[in-house]
Amino acid sequence: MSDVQERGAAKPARSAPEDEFVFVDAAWSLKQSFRRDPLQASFLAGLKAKRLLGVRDPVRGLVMFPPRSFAEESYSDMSDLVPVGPGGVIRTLTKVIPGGKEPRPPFLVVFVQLDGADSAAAGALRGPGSDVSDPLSLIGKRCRAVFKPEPDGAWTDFWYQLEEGAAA
Amino acid sequence: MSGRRIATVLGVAQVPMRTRLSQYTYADLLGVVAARALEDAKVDAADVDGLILAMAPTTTLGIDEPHFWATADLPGMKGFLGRVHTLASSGLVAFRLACAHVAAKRAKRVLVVAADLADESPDLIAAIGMFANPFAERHYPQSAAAAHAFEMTAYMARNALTERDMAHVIVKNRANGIANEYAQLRAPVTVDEVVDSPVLSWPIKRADASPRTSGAAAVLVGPADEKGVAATGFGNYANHPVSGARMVPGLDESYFDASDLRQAAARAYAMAGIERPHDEIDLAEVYASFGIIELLSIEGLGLTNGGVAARMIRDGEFHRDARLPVNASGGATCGTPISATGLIRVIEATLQLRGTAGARQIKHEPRRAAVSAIGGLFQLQEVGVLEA
Repeated sequence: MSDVQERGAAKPARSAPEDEFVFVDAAWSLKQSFRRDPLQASFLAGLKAKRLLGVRDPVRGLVMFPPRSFAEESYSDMSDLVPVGPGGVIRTLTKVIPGGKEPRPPFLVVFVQLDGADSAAAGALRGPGSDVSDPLSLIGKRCRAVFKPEPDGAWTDFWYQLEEGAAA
Repeated sequence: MSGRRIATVLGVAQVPMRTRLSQYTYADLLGVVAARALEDAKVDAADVDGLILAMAPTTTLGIDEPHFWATADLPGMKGFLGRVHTLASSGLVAFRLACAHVAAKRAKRVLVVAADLADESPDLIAAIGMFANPFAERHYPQSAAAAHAFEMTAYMARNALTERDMAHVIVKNRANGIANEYAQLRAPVTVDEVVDSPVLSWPIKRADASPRTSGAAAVLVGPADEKGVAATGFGNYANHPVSGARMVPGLDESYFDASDLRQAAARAYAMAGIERPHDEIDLAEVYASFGIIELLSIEGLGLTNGGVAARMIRDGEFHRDARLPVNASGGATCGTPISATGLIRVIEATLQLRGTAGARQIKHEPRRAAVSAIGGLFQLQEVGVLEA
């Protein structure tokens, strides 16, 4: 290779016109189906009934939300579903600036550790106090999960809202 | 005191990082850096008996699984071929594995190569989104900016820091990048320019983040008794894939406090005989595609002696002229080909320890360096120690 003597040099190894390569447009399109966690059906049925369900690790005693059927930390199967929330504490957040052609207002996504859970889960923060000028002040505040009137059995059935008094 | 030599860095090579390297195919890039690393080492291709390719994610390349089609006839290929696929830690993990092969006398010389072509897909965010658990995580925005915004807000709230405080790490790195002829971004920025740049996912702004980068790197590793910079310690640590399980006070806050990186560093330091990293390490090259990652990495590597990294950088610590420079090259926020960025940390530390880093050379004759990289959403931690 003729450029080898240029070791350490910052210039490209080969000079070539910008249009040396023709790019071929391509996209991956693969049909896929993946296995659903065995506890997912129970979790989504819980949402449809306006209930938040975690699962207890039988070895460590910790409650994970959302539930999953195997604990990598203790190498144990998990099946003991337990109710968590609806109250909880905001552990962290970000303000999302939606992309796309149609302008949409920014919104907050918060990670909340629900009461009775030993992990945090993300969701939108809406309602009074969620449009504060200093979002950092919301970290550590109490909030609660609020369900829409007619849940579908999906993650979008609920969001978080600051508890009364927490917005101050 | 020096640590036991595990293996020697015989040769290094990289190409200038750019948004687009229009003169190369992916296979070309690997060939160019492989040839340059061997020339740097003054070793013939026939004397290399192992090859490791670091590459992830492959979804951003036009063709999948490049170890099948881009490595033919590269030095070491006919000895054995390895592939590392741990995102931004891939290069450093591959270097560790090469050193392990040599130390175990499985091979005498192993070549590590890595490359990325950022212009083969505009859909990095979509590719990263594919990593997320479809059941537990895809109901909220998935992007590197959002993932690290969750870290940044927690760090700012805990340490009472402003966005201006957080901007100083970027200002430092971009100033360092000016002197690095391989850096992609070589213009300075001010605190105001960082704070006023477009918001990606608040508080992460455009200027807090690394650019999309094409680039490549190679390192030739050889026996410990050969002359040159040596690896003297390695440590790694992997944690839970669900980020929300690492945000819980009193249980696991590693997503916020870099305690996982601290575990990896403790293992590397124990191997290298380091007891007081802030006193015994002369420089660090840490992978940080966002400013917050560098701050958490400095603290996780134990370089602050208990201080808050953001304030220390604001006050002049960790700059190139400080006692313990961090990312004197400008770091990943001045350019980061994902697959190669961990290997570039090794190369930059090696050049500093050799005293051949040119305009970006640290003046105080460094003898010992820490290097680190992270794979996934702060999930896989990798630390190495290099000594002159």
